[in-house]
Amino acid sequence: MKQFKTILKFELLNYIKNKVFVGITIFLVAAIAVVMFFPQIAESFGSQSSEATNSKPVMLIVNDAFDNSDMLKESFSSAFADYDVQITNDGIDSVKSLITSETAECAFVIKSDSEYDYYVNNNSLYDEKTMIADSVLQNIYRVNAMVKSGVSPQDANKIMNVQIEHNTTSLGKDQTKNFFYTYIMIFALYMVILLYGQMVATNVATEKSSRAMELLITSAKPVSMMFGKVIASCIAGLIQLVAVFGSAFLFYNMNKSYWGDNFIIKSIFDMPLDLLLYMLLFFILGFFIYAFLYGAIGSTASKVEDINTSVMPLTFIFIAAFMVVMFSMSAGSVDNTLMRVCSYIPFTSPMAMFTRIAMSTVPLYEIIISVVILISSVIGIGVISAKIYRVGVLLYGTPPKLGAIFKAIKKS
Amino acid sequence: MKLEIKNIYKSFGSKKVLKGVSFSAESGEAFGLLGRNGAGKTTSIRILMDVFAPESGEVFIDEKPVDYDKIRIGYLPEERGLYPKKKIIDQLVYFAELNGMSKRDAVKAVDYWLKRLKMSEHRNKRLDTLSKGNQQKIQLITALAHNPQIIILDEPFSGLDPVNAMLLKDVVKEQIEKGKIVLFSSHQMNYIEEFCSKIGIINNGEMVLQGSLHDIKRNYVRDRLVVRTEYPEKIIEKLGSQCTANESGELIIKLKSAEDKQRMMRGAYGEF
Repeated sequence: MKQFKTILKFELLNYIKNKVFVGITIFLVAAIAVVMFFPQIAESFGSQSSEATNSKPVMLIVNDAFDNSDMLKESFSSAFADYDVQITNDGIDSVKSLITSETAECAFVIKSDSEYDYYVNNNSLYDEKTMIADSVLQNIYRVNAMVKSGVSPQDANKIMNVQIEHNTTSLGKDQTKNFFYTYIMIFALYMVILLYGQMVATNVATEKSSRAMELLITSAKPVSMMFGKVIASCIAGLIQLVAVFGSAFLFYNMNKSYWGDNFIIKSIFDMPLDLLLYMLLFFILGFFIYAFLYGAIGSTASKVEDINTSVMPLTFIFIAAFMVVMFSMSAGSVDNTLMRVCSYIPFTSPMAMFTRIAMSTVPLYEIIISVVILISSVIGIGVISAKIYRVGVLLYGTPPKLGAIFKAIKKS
Repeated sequence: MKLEIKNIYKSFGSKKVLKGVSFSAESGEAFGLLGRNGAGKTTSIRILMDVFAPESGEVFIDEKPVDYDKIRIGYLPEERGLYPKKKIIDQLVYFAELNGMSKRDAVKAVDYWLKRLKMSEHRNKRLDTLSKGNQQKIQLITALAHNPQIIILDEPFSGLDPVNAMLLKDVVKEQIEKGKIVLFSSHQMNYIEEFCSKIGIINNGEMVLQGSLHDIKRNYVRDRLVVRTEYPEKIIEKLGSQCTANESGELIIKLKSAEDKQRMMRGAYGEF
């Protein structure tokens, strides 16, 4: 036990004293600070610039279809509130030149009540103006049609613009709210496990290639070595996560008023406490399972360069698990059969089960079964990994085949 | 204290590495384990240190099966290596702690040994800033700092200059005088001869010769003559099957008896 503590302390100090580790953490915190303070910064800049220029982009309308240009201008102005809508009688060519010279941003040439041309300088991928214009014109067309058949313009407008009120009460989980934080959590889980898993593998392989292993293996028990290394990297990972998310939370609270009612940001920081605890549980267990295996794989490679090829199969399993969860999340069906199965398999359950808990309603017994399977696998894999480690660290040369390793474990 | 290794068998896969190795050593005594590369020296040491279990056979301390929680072993592996990028004091203290010392005692012991080996000036440097010989001295501290009862030194002199070799010899002699069991492993006879009262020669996983160095030297039948000559053909012609050539071109003549030596030498001088 004393040995384990010594190893844990040594390995943890390795991380904390590591300049790269400290640098990345500081960089992430700084990046988050920039993001969280952005509205405040933007506002202090924005208020000056809006006073200085005080101009909306110009949208030109060429009316060749309707008698009443005012009605057209009114409809477009209310649909495009961010634009200075101007009716013009200039010819097509002068309109085009106004756009290319960037005096106006875009122009609609209304040819008939159901046809128009849209002119814009650079057509953006996200340009939705034609869709809005479509519905504006549709609306005008319908109102006109109703007026023709004897309805008064006011009534026609009322009919067209009737507002429906609705309230949604979610009895289970509200996916619109928890989507973002689940997404962020899963992504953090993915990044941290992949990053630290590789670090554990590299760490073991470095010890082996520098032959410090010869001494370590005779001074310390492999189980203490393995658990010391993995738990140290888990703590280092948690420190990094807490630093990043903690600072995000702090900066958010400092800028709360500036963010106002931003839906996404608000929903991220609105995470319930029990989910945070589940996150912690699945993070630690998932981290252990992968870090143990990464450590064991690292022990079979005799050079650090061999690590990348050796860990590939494990990394693939992990990426596959991540993909399944991500696709199910964006498809909105986190309770599909694949996800149900995945939430019991120890390699995938940390992400799959957590996603299901966060985004749907999972019965408690399912959670317990999943966690029990996960915990027993962590212990089992930990012990097996320590055995692989014990055998692997003294094998030099080409990485041994899987079968050879298992034979050696059986014997030892 | 008496260390005994009894009848150890070990194989890796189908390859039998150790086929019944036994030897013993007592406190205040150095034991030399000799053998060619791949003879099974390192495997014997690793079994002795509980890195892996033997297929059969056992390690005894004072007639009782060894309890690794109670015994302290210091080990200088043949493959040298520590953490190249760490501060020397940090890693030496770490290894001493792993071997059961408290942090305070570890720092004290490491500082003592750094001074003893004239390495104090390097205390706070990174290991990879040191020369290879100095790195080896640092590594030696990992084998000594925790005051082990058994010290295992695998090729301790390789890579040391004569001054440092002298220093190491003094340290080893001092440890033997303190009543430690020192186990040498080497394929260089000259160093072993200097300290070891007992030796064991291991070949192909078997102990082929073992006992006190003095006895071995005395009892060994001196019936061989090594001849270096420019005309080996002539001797082969005359003595025939008695001669064998060794790797460096010398002839080894097996005599009928040790008393034959003088006559053969004189005869050889006259004839060739």
